[in-house]
Amino acid sequence: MLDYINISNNIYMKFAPTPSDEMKRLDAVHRLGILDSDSEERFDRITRIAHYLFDIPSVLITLVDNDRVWVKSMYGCAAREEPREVSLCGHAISNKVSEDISSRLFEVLDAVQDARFCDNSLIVEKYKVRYYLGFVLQSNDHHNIGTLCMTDTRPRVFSMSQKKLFVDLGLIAESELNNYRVTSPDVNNDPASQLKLKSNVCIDFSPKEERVNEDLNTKINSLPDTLLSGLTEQEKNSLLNFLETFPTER
Amino acid sequence: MKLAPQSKNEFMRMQAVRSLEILDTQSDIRLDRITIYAAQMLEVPITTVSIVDLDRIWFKSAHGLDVKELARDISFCGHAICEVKLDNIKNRIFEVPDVKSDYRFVDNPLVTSSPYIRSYISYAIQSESGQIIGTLCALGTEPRKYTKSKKQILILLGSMVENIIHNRHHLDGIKHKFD
Repeated sequence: MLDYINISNNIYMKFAPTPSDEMKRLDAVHRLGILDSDSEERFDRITRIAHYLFDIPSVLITLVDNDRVWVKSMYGCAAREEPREVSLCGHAISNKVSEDISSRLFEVLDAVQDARFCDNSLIVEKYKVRYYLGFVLQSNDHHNIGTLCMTDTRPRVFSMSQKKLFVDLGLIAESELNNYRVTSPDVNNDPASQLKLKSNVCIDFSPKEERVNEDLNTKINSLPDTLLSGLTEQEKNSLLNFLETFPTER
Repeated sequence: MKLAPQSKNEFMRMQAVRSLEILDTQSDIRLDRITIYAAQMLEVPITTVSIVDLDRIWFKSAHGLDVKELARDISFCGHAICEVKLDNIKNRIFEVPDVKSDYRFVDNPLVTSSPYIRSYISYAIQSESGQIIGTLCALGTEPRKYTKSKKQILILLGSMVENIIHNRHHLDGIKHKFD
């Protein structure tokens, strides 16, 4: 594949390179069984903490699939997935990482000044990203599967101790990802056990589902009917999620 | 371009603004959450909590905008606070679906140069004494006609802003307000 693409006005944008272990890496991503799943609090709390801890607009947990970067959790932005080749995460995971954990950090101090990204319209124009810090998340068998990353619309400088905290959050996200199959029983490769689990799902999960609906109803009741009647299911859920996590202190 | 007028009871209004002691204060994470969420829900690049001072619009929270304040006479909010009525929450909305077909804004510098605003919607924030002190507003770069449900969301978020500014719980009296 061409490493560079010639854009009409003779400016060159560097595509995210393909890692040398790409086949095994993709296999590791798919084996997680998490792609295209719904958002979950155990990931959302990580992006939320990072947002407030580092006072930064956008934080994401992403998985790098074959041709897309898929977002498991985001705080402060609305991205669900973006093309891999023009993504910053695609660059982050193609970096060779060593035993040294700091080699898993990928930082872009100012995208506008960086030849690799300055003419990338997705990054520079659509999302107005100037600063990017990504921590590469690995599978249990040490393939780069995705990132915990944060972006700002202005250049930022973080201290070593702040970056260490960011790495800590990244490692929490990593263990949540790698525990996904253990804690989510409906995800399994083996068709037989999948069937077994599916039938269990009906029994095991119905009381929980009722509980969730109850919580939802209490919250709905605290909001005006005239407001809720006009909303789509998606808007309603998004609104309730927003209110649920809304800070009560300044 | 029509410069934003002074409101009729500007003296009383300014007293209400000043007595809040909010101008040039630090940002509030709750208001920042609201502007970020409003941008996401209304699908616009810029949202602000604007306080209308004597000659400027000062942003208590601004998402998608680098400046802290703008001159009042070229602002949309300056117009909004003169146009709306406080008798009903729906009347607190001021909407410009397409600035290009509105003589008041067609040659406004915010329209003709960056950030190239094309649509505007706001919900007026009032003081406890019933004066309009500012807005929660959303600025789009494309013409927009908001659906009823999007307006309802703006009203809800605007009511939360109002509660927070007055040191009340963010959902205080909201159900009552809509009924």
